[in-house]
Amino acid sequence: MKINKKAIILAIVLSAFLLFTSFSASCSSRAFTNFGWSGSVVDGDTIYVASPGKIAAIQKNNGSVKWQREIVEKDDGAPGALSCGRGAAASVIYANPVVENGVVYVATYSGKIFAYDTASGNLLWKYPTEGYVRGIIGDFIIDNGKIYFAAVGGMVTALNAETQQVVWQYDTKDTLWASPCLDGDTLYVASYDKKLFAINVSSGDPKWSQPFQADGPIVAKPLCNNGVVYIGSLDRGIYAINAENGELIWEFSAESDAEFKPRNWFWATPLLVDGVIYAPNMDGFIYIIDSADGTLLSAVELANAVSSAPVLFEDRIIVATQEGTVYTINTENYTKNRLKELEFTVQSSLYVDEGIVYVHTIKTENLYAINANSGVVVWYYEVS
Amino acid sequence: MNIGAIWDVVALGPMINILIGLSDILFGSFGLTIIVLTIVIRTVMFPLTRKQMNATKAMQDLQPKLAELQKKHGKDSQKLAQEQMRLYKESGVSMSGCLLPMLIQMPIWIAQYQSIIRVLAVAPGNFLNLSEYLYSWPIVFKALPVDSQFLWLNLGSPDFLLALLVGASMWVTQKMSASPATNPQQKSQAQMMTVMMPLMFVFFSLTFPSGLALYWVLSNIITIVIQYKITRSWGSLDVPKYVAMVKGLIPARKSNTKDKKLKERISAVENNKTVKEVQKADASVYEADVIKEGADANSSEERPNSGGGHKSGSGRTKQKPRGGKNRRSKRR
Repeated sequence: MKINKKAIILAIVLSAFLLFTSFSASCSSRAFTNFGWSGSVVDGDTIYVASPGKIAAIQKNNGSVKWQREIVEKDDGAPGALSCGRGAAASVIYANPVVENGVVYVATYSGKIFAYDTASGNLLWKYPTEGYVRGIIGDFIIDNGKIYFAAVGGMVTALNAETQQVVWQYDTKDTLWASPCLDGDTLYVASYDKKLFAINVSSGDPKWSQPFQADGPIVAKPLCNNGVVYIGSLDRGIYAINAENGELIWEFSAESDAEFKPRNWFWATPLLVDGVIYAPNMDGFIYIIDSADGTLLSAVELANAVSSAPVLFEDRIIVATQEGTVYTINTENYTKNRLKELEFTVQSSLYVDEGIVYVHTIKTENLYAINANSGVVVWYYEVS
Repeated sequence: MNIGAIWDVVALGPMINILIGLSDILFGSFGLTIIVLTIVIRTVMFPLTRKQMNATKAMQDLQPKLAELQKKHGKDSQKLAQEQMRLYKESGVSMSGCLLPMLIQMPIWIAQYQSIIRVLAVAPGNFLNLSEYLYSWPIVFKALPVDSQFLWLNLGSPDFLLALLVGASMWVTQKMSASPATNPQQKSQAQMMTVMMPLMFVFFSLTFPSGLALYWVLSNIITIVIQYKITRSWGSLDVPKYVAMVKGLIPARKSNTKDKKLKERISAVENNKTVKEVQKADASVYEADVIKEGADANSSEERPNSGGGHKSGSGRTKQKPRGGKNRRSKRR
């Protein structure tokens, strides 16, 4: 009897352990919780921020709420099977909100776009009205009355912003996580399946005979500038591609002869300032590269991995590590300064406006307004 | 450094990088990678598995004697504990012999299945965290993202059929490793475990990526094979000999059978008695055997106690194989 009890207790302990490790590996631990990393955008005197299941309009001078709306839907279109938001009511949001002509747009991971009136916060429309497109992670672009977005399932869509009618669609057949980039009449879409597509926005047809092929997945938004498209890849490389024909101009990679070689993914969207690329890496360095030939100019070591896109403010770039330390890097001499320690996870893009840098921390879901010169927190708002 | 960080460095990091690197070598197929790595790990850990199974089997063989001790000293817990300890010592069986090999293997199994979940992380938030674990091996960066298509499966999503296979294979392993029940309470507890564990794993399999379920199914199949190789028995799944004979599974003729009870049982089955009825009758015979053995043992135990304890005790141990054989023949 005694042994039997022991065996039962052992079985229960083992089961509980398995249960704990399974769930800790899926839902409740830091490593496996799907919060989304939507950032913020300023329009006039208001900053709009999206967090899981919510969009809020906040007065940018004092952090008071103008309006906020819940985004509740069945999160069943998510392509990630591990998402704990799967089946949950609150929508996971990765894409940054976009404001255009008095309308703020939000796209959810499950695959729906919501349009709200910026003044009242009233829901104007949602697309599609029934069902979902296959997941939206990247930001969408609004230009000339059209909304361009790339869905995870591979479809790139141009939507009439007024009527919500599909103007054209192009199926890349790839998985799309990255935000597209619009330059002139061409939309550049990078894929998780290691390709870069160029699509004519008038017709929706591909511009190049075949897409550019990288060695690793691309999740960062491409940088389009002056006939060149720059992409950071998870193969630890930065590529410069001719926008006309899709041919490689130069490549900076882990196999290059540079003194500092990237040791991890280029996840965050790089920043181009005066012909110099600032490319944050998950190895905790910012690689500073000459955009003309891909030469490494410098590498600035930060304390931790960087996955959020940096921003330019006056003569310095502002960048936040995943662990929540905000730095400035001088664009003249590449010296860094610690601006603020938030001690919360930062994965969202930063936004700077009138000397204030806005940082959205995930999990804690706070929006911080930080003075870009002094590092003083002007206000913060608990989004959730 | 906290325990989580140590676990990440010591267990998860190596396992994740091996998984990703191996998938590149194995034609980019992550399903094949799971299969190969599971077989390799189970092969490397075979000596430990064998040790654990042998110890468990020895422990199972002691169950009737333990039941007997329980009956005898049930009211005197101190005496019962003493007698049980003595029995373990004499038989060379210990709980640690069953547990230790399993405890050594468990971190490796857990690291493996946590790594599978992390590498298959298809949601962006989960995938981003994978970067923390990557070594700067070129092969690792070349292999990502892993190909999650394998046979009919999308390894990143749950699969109903595979969940059922997990449940079925888990049920078989439970039945094979279940101790023979010596009393109704133990029997009901064992039955509960046999049902609960597979159900729990079916639930897990329907919640997690099917890559993990693939690992569980394969791991269970390997356990079944090893268990059978070591014990030469299907445990409680074994078809009783008399049923096997009647059904022609064992080539034997009733006339050649010397065992009286076996003859009776073959006749019973041939006379359209249901297997359950015969087994029920067997159970009562078995219980009677255990009580009888207990009585025999008690009487033999009293003698050495009055005479010269330790020597007689070891003498009893030497007789154990015969006792076991008799018991088995009685059960049949």
